[in-house]
Amino acid sequence: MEGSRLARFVLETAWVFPALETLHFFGLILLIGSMYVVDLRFMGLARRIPLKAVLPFIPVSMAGFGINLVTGTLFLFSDPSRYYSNFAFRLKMLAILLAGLNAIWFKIAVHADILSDTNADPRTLARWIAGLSMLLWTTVIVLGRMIPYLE
Amino acid sequence: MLDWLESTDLARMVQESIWGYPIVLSGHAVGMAILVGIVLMINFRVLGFAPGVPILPLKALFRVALLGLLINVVSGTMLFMASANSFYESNPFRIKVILLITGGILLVLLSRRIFGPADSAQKTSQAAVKSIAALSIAVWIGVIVAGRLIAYWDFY
Repeated sequence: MEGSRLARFVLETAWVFPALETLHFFGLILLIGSMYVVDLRFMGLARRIPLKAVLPFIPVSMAGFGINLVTGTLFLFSDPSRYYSNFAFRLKMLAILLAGLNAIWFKIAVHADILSDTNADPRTLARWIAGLSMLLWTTVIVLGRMIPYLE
Repeated sequence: MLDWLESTDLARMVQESIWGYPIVLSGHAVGMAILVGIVLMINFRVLGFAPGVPILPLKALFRVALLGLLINVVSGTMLFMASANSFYESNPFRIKVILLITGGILLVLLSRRIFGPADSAQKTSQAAVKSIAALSIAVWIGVIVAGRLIAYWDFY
């Protein structure tokens, strides 16, 4: 991977790394900002907003995730041995995996109920899933920020 | 003044303890996600996205965004104090501060119009509110770009 032309382009062209990092931050804002809005509503904040109405923010999360999957993969390509052996990076990947499983849990256990009943109050399970989502995504930010300091 | 800031106990703690800098930096990144993330989503709604969301109850989310602002004013001040001279000389940092002030003014203007009393809300045209929202999105993204560039642009 390190010898690929893509890896050398990312590492050796002065502006590419900062540009990708900025894009990674933009993806973070879209992904986690929209998750916070959905999660806070499902945890019981701003009850006058119908639950169903905040669902359009989920595709925004997915767009942000897509941006960060691409930019993140490019970071990994540029220096795989650095990331692979990094403890913060490994924990970050684990936290993303758990956040993804948590999102699937939401889809299976909560999503259909919300679509069928517009004004249903969030059930206890939905609150827990939303709280876990906020916690996991916030952990992802912290672990990402720790990567340069744990090598 | 800058030298004095760098010599305070708080600045020394951020500079010298192994975990001081990464912890404050992580706090700054989380505050950014809370503030800019939620502000962007509110602005998306003002521009017409997710029309099923009523505007007034967004005030509760706006307050959470202000909590993110508070986190970042505190963590940002600590980061500034740790390397006051370098930040002061940094052009991306200067641009970031100007954009931050602009972003703050736009937040006040927007919140007054969308959360204010109904009569004042009616006085403001939809087009004006939407222009503020669009400008606010651009300015806050600019804050992030300038912030990221501080580390790359002649920062010693």
